[in-house]
Amino acid sequence: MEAIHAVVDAFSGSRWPFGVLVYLIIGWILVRPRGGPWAQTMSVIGWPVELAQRVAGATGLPYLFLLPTFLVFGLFTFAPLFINVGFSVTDGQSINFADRTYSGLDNFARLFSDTNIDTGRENLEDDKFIAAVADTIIFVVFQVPIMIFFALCTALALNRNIAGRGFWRSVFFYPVMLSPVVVGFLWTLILKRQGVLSLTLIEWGVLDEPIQWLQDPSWTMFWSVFVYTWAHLGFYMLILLAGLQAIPRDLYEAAEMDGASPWRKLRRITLPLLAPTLLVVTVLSLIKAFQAFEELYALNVRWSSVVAYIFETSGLLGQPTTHGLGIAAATSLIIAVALIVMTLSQIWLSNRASR
Amino acid sequence: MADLTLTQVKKSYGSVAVIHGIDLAVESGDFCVFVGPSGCGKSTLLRMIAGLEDITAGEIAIDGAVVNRMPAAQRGLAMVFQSYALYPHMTARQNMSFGLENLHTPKREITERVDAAARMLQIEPLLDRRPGQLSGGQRQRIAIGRAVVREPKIFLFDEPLSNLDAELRVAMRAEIADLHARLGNTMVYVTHDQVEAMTMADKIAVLRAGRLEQFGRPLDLFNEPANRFVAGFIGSPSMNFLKGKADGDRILLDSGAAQPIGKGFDLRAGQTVELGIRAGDILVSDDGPLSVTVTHVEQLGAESYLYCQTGDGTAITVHQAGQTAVEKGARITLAFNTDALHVFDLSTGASCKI
Amino acid sequence: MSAAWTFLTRTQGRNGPTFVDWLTYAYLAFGFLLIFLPVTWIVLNSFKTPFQLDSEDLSLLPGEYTSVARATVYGPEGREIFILSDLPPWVLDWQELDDEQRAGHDIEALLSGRQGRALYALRSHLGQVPTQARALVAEKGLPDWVLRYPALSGTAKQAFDTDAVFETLDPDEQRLLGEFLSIAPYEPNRLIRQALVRAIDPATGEMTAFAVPRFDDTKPTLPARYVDNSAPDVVKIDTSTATAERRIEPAIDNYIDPLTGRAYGVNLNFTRCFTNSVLVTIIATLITLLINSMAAFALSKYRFRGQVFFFLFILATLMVPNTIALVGVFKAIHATGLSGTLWGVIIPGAATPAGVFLLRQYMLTIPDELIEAARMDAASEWKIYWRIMLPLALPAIAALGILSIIWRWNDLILPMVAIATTKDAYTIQLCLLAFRGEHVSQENYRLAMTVVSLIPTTLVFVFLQKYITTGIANTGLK
Repeated sequence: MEAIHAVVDAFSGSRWPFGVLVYLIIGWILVRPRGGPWAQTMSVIGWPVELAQRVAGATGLPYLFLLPTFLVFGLFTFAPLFINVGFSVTDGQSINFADRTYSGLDNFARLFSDTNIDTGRENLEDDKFIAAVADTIIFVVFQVPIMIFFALCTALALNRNIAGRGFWRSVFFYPVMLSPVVVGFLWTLILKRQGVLSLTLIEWGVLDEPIQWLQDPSWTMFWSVFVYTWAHLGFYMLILLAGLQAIPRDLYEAAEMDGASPWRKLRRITLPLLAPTLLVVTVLSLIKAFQAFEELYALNVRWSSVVAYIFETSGLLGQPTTHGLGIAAATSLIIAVALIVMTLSQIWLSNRASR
Repeated sequence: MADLTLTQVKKSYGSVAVIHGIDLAVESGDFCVFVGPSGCGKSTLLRMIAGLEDITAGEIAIDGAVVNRMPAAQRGLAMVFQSYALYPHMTARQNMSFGLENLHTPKREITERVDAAARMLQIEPLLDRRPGQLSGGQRQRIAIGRAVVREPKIFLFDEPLSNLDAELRVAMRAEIADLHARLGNTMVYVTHDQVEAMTMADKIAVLRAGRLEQFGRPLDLFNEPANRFVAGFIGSPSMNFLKGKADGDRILLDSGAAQPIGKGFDLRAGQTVELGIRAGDILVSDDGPLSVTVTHVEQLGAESYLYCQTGDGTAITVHQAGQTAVEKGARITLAFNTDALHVFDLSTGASCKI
Repeated sequence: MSAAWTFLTRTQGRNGPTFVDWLTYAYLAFGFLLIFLPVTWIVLNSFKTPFQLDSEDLSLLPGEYTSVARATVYGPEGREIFILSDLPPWVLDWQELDDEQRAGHDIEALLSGRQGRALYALRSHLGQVPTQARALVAEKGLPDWVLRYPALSGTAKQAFDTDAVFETLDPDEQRLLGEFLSIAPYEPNRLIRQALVRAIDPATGEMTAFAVPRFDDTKPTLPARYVDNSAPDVVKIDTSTATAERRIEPAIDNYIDPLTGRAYGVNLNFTRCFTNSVLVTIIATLITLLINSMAAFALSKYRFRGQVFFFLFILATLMVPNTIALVGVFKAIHATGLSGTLWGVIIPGAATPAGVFLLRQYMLTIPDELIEAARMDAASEWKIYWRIMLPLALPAIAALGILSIIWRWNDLILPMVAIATTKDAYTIQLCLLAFRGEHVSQENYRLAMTVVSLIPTTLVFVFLQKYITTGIANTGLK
């Protein structure tokens, strides 16, 4: 009963289900489907495509097939980038553009200048932004190499002829399945002040006093990197493992005939042939780490990543601030540009390397 | 039953032309084979007839109606693909019924037609199996069955036998010919194997590099090849060619011999030509004009082949009925059956027969 | 055993396991512990009672120390503190019970056999004082203001003469009314839970039962009281000699209460959040599979103008995910009227570039001849899509379906942007975060709900991980 109420409530706030219903009814009338439930459903869903083919032939159909996906991409991936530009050059607390005033590059000035352009005093926003960027860079610089190193070690270990390979692979992949919130709660339980880590270390005599690991300034970054790596290692391990398994066996056999040592085989065969996969892994993990937010938010760490900064200033969660939306949009733009530059330079580097 | 007419049909991908303008008329009920070396455009031509490829220029007409802009589904044709293209997730019966279902044929009629086709092709026990559980030959039958139940105006076959082993291929060849005899439908069949073409076809269209070299009945092609290419392509072993110059009613071969030819050739004096002669039309005789060295002997029991070389290095294959006493390395002289000689212009390749 | 040993130690047909083999196994075992200990820890903790969690009890298993009650009773003789050791468990749990559960217990029977300070303590603890005081007022015909007296302000209280009323009552009745009105020397009595330990009595050197506030074996000594109340004062007992008895008992209520809406003072409806998450996951996955496979079909099996452009578009989306432009996404969701409804989470996440990419790569391997055969069979393009293409691409569809289930279930950013202001539409991840923000003290519920939220993905992992691992390995994308 509760579930039915939930369904009704959850969907009653929008006219979309109604639209879908109308669409299906039109389809039903036009197509008059036959066959089993699956056949009927699919026939009804596709009525515009059927109709278009009957009326205009097959030439335009690919566009019709692409339409739904690209409509969603356009509306919720690309349009937001341009909307963001709009927000970043306007001032105001409202999300309606009618209530916002054009302000040029003010929002960027709020992010970068040393004096606050609104009050004339020292600019705190600037400090917060720079701190978020600096912390994020530190995080990325440590997290990415450490994770790739351990992912590679794990992949190499799993690529050996060991017992229970599938089992071990599953084990290392498991954290990838956990939600950021679960990961955050999991480690908070261990790393909180009176958590199992502190208390155990006290018992062993390593610590005199419990530490709030996630809030302690000298530990917060370490544990951010640790937990983030813990959560994502399995995914990159899997890609690297696939790369390793694509290396032909006979190369190793040939090297064995030549009497190469395991270390030499690793240096001279494995790593060079794995280079393209390593590059993919680096690009993906860089992009991902740069946007780190969810796990860190659930962990409640002491520092703000860039995305956390965007969330905080935008006021989408909690209190809206006077210029919050504009500043957050400006930050998003800067990050998007940074990501694009980063990705393109990676692709450029890989092209140059493969040449 | 339908006839098929191609008028100046052309096909190009971007600026690359692959079919250069083909005129062809397949009569109703004919078994027409497109044959040619790989890359000659025969499959492309078939797919254009089927409606799977656009036609760049020209017209394709079925029963007099131009079908250029008609989608494949409406042309009323059925095709058997090289890889059979059976839907792997459907049983044989579902594979065969799929097309009829799409045409909204009543269920009972579908069952009847599928059963009838299955009986004819002797695949009744296989109807509930999926393609993955069938052998190559069985899949081939299902694929043919799928075409048969459609009762198409024209059957199209795209190298249907090339994935079968040699023995099965011969058997299936006979079956398809038999199928044609029973159904009497127009069929267009693409192959690169001239033996298939010769054994099955009512009409053969020899294609090379997007052009139609010759179109006619198999024996006409064998006996009266229009050019050197057709002459060399049709018949096994290939026709022997010897270069030379025309000199009145004889040809002065480059190897030094002079070969008299009969009447019926249009030759200029001194014209550079190639003399063509089939292996079976060459005799080993002591007073023959051409002297050669035997490089290799093939004894097949009922017949024998002698592989010889002329003084200037041209290879000649000689067919002999029964077993031969000639041994490798022997020097023999050859005489040609003058009635069976072909002469082709060296530069154009065209036959010089009148 | 020896068979297992040979299995574990076998190598590539050479002599025995090498040093590197041992290193590998050690590394893997270490990783195993590092991954499964935290997960096990949260699961075990989710079964602990709030008391056990608050006491920072590091024992692995949920369960309680055998408890006794420490009673504080006020009276003319001053404050008395003593131990009650013979109470049924529900008395100690009283504060956590809801009305319905409370009604299920027979208080009268419990109180009937008791008298003196034990009765006074239990009477207060079980909330019987007001009832009994009202009965007293009615029986003795005391003035009405007595009942209003506890709610009055300090100055208003002075207007009434309580002493006059007290004079008419016997000492037991005076105590009852005193406790009800909180008039010195009476105060509401208290009863709190303590752990029962057995330790060497520092005075006599014999094993004796003690009550301690919590059993913390990291401290050298524990402050303790005699369970038999043989001495009123606190003694320090040596922790090393102390042993606590505990019964292992998972606190199932951690799970049942929030799911049935009985969790005390919680204004988040976990059942609804789970329903929302299930709805979002299922609907979004179906839409994702439908529209992404359509796009992949077009990109892999047709040649058309702009094909390369569309494909590059997908790759670009992969590189710059929409979560970066939060404000813009919020505006877009708001402008399309999806804000605050589940559709705001379903639709923007339905088109996944990785999904289109994965399906396209797979569909490229399906022979074109099958599609041509279907065209010859007079199938419409839409029918070719769902009748031929979808069944043949099933392995890739399954992989994407499973990935999509995990993505949607675990998603946090999109719900934060789209439905953060609408509690009714919260997904479970958002719900857990909000719960942490609003109910810091009820960690037991949060841990239990976290474990529940972990169940679907874990089930998917256990039964279907083969599809995911091959799916990811084939495309190298998440």
